[in-house]
Amino acid sequence: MVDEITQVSAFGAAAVHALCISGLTAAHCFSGRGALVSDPAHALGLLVVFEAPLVIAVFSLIRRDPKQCSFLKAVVRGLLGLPIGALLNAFGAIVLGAPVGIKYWTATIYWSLLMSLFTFVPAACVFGASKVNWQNVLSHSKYITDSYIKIVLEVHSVDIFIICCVFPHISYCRPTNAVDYMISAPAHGAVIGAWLGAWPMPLDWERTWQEWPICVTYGSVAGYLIGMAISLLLIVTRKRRDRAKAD
Amino acid sequence: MAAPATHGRRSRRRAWPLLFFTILALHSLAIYLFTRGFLLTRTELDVHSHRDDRTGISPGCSSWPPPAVDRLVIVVLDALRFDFVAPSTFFQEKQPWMDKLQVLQKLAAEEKTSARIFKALADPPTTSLQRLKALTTGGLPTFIDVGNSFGAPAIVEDNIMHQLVKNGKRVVMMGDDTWIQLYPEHFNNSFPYPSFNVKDLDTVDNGVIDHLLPSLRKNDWDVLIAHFLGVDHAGHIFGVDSNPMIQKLEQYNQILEDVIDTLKSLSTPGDIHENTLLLVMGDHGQTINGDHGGGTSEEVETSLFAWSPKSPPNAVFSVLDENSCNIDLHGKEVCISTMQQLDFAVTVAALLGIPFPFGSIGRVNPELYALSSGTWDNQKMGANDCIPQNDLEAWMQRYAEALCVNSWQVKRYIDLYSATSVIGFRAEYLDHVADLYSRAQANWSSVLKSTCPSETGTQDVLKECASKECTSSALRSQLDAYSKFLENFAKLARSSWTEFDLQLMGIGLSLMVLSVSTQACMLVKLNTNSQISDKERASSSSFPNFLFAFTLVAIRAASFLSNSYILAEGRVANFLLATSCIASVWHSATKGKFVIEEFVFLVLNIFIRFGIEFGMSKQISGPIISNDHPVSIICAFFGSFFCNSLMETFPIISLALVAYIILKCISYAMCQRFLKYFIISGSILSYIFIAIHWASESTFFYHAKAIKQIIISLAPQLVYTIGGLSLAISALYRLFGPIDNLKMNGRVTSLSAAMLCSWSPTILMLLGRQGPFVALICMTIAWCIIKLRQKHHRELKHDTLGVYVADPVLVTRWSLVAVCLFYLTGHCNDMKELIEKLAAKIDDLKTSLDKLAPLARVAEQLAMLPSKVVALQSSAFENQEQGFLQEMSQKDEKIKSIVSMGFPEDEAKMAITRCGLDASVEVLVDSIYALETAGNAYSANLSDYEDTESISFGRKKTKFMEGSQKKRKRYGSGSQGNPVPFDGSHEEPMPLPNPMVGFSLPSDRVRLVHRTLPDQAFGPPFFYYENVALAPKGVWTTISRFLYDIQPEFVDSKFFCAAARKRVYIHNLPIENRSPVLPRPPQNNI
Repeated sequence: MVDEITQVSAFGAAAVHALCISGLTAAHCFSGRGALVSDPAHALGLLVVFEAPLVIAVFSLIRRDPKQCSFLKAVVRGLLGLPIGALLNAFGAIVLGAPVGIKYWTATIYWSLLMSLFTFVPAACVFGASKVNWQNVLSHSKYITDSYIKIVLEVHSVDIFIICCVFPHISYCRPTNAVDYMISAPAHGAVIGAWLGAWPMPLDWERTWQEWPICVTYGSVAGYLIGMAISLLLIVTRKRRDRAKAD
Repeated sequence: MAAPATHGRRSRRRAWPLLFFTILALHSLAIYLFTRGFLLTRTELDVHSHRDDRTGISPGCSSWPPPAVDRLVIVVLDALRFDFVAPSTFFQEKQPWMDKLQVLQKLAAEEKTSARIFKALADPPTTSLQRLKALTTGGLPTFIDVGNSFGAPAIVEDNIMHQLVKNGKRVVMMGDDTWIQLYPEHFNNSFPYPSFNVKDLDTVDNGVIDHLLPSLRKNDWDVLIAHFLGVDHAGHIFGVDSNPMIQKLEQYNQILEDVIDTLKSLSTPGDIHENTLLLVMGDHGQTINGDHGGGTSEEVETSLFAWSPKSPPNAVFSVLDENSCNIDLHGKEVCISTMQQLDFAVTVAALLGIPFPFGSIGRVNPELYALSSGTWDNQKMGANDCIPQNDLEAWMQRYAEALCVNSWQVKRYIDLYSATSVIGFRAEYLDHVADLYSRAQANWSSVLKSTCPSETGTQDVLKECASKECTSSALRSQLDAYSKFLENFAKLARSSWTEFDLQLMGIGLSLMVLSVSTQACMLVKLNTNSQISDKERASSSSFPNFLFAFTLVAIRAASFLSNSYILAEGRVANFLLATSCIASVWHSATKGKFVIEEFVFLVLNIFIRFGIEFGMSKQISGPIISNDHPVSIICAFFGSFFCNSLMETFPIISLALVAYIILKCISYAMCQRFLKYFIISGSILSYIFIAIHWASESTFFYHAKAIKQIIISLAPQLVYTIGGLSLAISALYRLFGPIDNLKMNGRVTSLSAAMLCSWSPTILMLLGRQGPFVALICMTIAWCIIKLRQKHHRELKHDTLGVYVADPVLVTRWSLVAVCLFYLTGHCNDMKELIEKLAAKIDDLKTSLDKLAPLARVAEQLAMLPSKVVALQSSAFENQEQGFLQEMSQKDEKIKSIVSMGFPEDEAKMAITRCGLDASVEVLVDSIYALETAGNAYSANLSDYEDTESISFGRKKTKFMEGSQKKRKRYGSGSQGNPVPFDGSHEEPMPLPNPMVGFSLPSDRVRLVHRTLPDQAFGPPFFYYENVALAPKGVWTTISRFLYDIQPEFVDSKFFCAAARKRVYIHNLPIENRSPVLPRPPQNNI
């Protein structure tokens, strides 16, 4: 059972993340400094164009079931997932109060495509339509916080017994895969970052970046990057612990 | 064992209502105490002074003092800080905005006997409306004066304006239209201009300028009030340390110079301004950021400048305070006195010889009183010129008489106020003040004896006390006694009308904490009672839930710390509600199921959101709905007829739905046959009435006018009557009807259904057209939440006991939904007004809290509120600030480099203002040199420009600036004052609704030299409309809509003259052969 799941090493994960980041930076360099503020729709479009092929290709390579599913099939899954994820994200944004005027339509569409690339597409590429895996990733928010607590406690070399006493709800031996971390942590980061990024919008600072998709985009990108860092951290600590267990 | 347990439970159940009422009482008591300390109240007395009031005190003091000036010119410069007027030598450091009103300083230094700068101390709240009220009534207005309705701020208390009108004085007003609100029918002639638009720096000022000088030459008024708003608005938008502020001050300097010149030229004996007093004053100060409202020294300190063309005798120096004198920039001595703004009303009344306002608690200010030469006219009016007196003594006598009347008037006010007001003063303080008064009055007769022995007929006193020192010392002590009385009472009044009662507020707060904690304790107890069975499960599953709910509540609470979030409260609540919905959807998705209620909830959220936004847009931009709103998009898509008919029929359709649901509800819930049928028929009737009412109001259905009127007036009454009747009948039925054998639950349900049915039509009627929509949303949401809760319980397999246990997230959701619905009904507009008023008050609270050191940080947070309030109205101007900051940093660098060359900083700043930001450092240095050479000629030149009355001020100033430029050229300096670069890099980003024509010349866009006009607008009559470009969003589109939809042309005059005036023109003049004006090529190549 274990052998059919692709194993990704910490370096592999770092490489995948580096590729994703390089897509973002390339788009940033190409559009120029401050382009997001002056012409958000254009800059977001560039970001999507640069990021989409990278994300789809990279996550199709590390698909969950390489035996049954070819690379091309995974790519097609990712391409299908892109608009679906964009729809979900746009719906969420509108529920939360994103403006819907004609002026904002293009920016909203590009933004939701970008969010879809951060959240939905990787999972679509890797898992396809497997319901269990999706649930697994969705419920990762809990496991991520749990494992974060564990890491913190382990860093401070607290006894496992005490951890179990203080946080009885932490399930200690849940099997999680490196790819799960790689997908869920940045996705959660992007969503939470976007949510936080919306907070400066009603303030009266009268800055241009308080317009609708700009600060939310900044927030989601920042959250995405932080999520990547966290996922790497989790993978590394997990490997180390596994190795220690094996010894 | 079982019996005592059931007994205990039953007794506990019976105790619940009692506990509930205790908590309710505790809550209300806490709120009452807190507001009692926080909301200062003062009763307005609707009593007026009369010309024939008699004080009943012996000679000199029996009637109101005689007039000392004939005419009075009051120039109010809104938000005039003290350091705008006083010379910079009075302060530690010279700031760029100081010494701009040179005329006043010069006059104060040169004509020491007749001109004087005062530091006027205002009382909080330092907002214009309250200050104007205080200036005219001489009282201490609070935010919520009892008897003052929010809508109409017209003053009911006695005030100078009322007295002026009563005594036949003619008043002319120009400027801020707040005056018209306060005194709707007191002015003979008025030129009000709207003060609402903070962005607009010029409209009010230009209007005043147009009327001020012509009015000064006329003879049809006795008191002239000119209220300028530019400085206040410049402060609000740009702050004090900014170019627009300095420009405004320089403009005022020019105006004041003209005013003074005019007055001087007409002040020869027999001329109209022979005995005129000029007062230039601020109503309050402002902070560096341009905020005001609170009680910090910057906001409270304003200035008053008094000058009369005729100077009083030199003896005036012994009255004027010589303590704070300093050398000004030109080496002359300038003295500054301090006065309370409270004293303004009574002093003006004394000078004009009108009865003092009844509610005034100020004191006739000796220095301001002495400045008018009329008060030195050797006692022509007085009857007791018994012994030869020198000027000073005669004046002191007269002043003592004024003070005597003043004290009597204040005492009369105290007596009446403590007899009639809701909340009077404390008795011991009152006694103290009364004691002071009686002592002062007792002295009065002895002073009279000493000053005028002939009246008493005893020569001994004269012998004993013949020396002048004796007389004047008696007078002095008398003046002191009166002053002491008046000051003491002012102090008492301040403490009860302007200072928060911290003790009461503290008690209220701690009671609130107590009651909340009791409630929390009870809830916890209740929870443990019912959840004993599954304790471990609760602890494991409800913890994240609890944390989530707590976070939501904490965010909402924290959002109240920022004013922006307070004003966007509806949206914040909606955001949090949506967040909780999304989180729960997420949660159920992880469990792999999909709950329909949550999806419905999400969609409802969108509806609520659009509803709230619709209400807000309606409120901000009047009838214009912003183009980005879904409603307007739908309208654009389907056409306006469809849209209108939808708007008309939508409330009625949703009303029908609401009625259907409610009727269904009753038929299920109620069992008593008689009551049920009565209530059902009653509510059907009232719903029909409501529908008819709305239909008759709309234009969609046509009725005869008379029928329409009857329906409109009758329908609401019928609805209310039916509601009241059904409520009364259900109550009677409950009391006297047959006893049913229903269970507790069923009884409660039927009772609440009856209540709901009888209330709902009334509430819908009151809510208006959006009522049914709100009701529908409310019901659907309630259904969703209850369904969700039921599912939740089914999952946890709770028994009936679990009814008590509430999911914290659901409770939070209920409260957020309530907030959202409140904003949906559109009642936030009234609240917003109140909030804005309170925000300024909170700042006041901050000053009181400063005394409590540990709370200082909280106070800082509170202090941020008013600043935000002011900036609120700015929805246009998005890049302005950034561009401005960039400009400022550029400017700072230049100044630094010039200063490092050894030039003074202020000159460097001036040079930059003259030559523009992009001039090189060499050019700037040259210009400084040139100015030094040209210095004298420059200032002499100022008076060359005699104004012609029709020319507007802006144009005149431009001419003047051009003149000075020419001069610099003549002196051979290399500097050329080309203020702007022509490469288009300097364009100021301003989100105006149309393409900007004329900005950033030469632009990459082809200049507009031809256009197509609509047929109605083509050809004569020609019109030409011009105004400032800085208007809030949508204003120009509105204007253009009213002018045949002609595209406005945006032009910045900085491309052809030195002054930067952003103007907009709408006209139908032919422009076919118009060529674009090209700027002069830059000449500053060295």
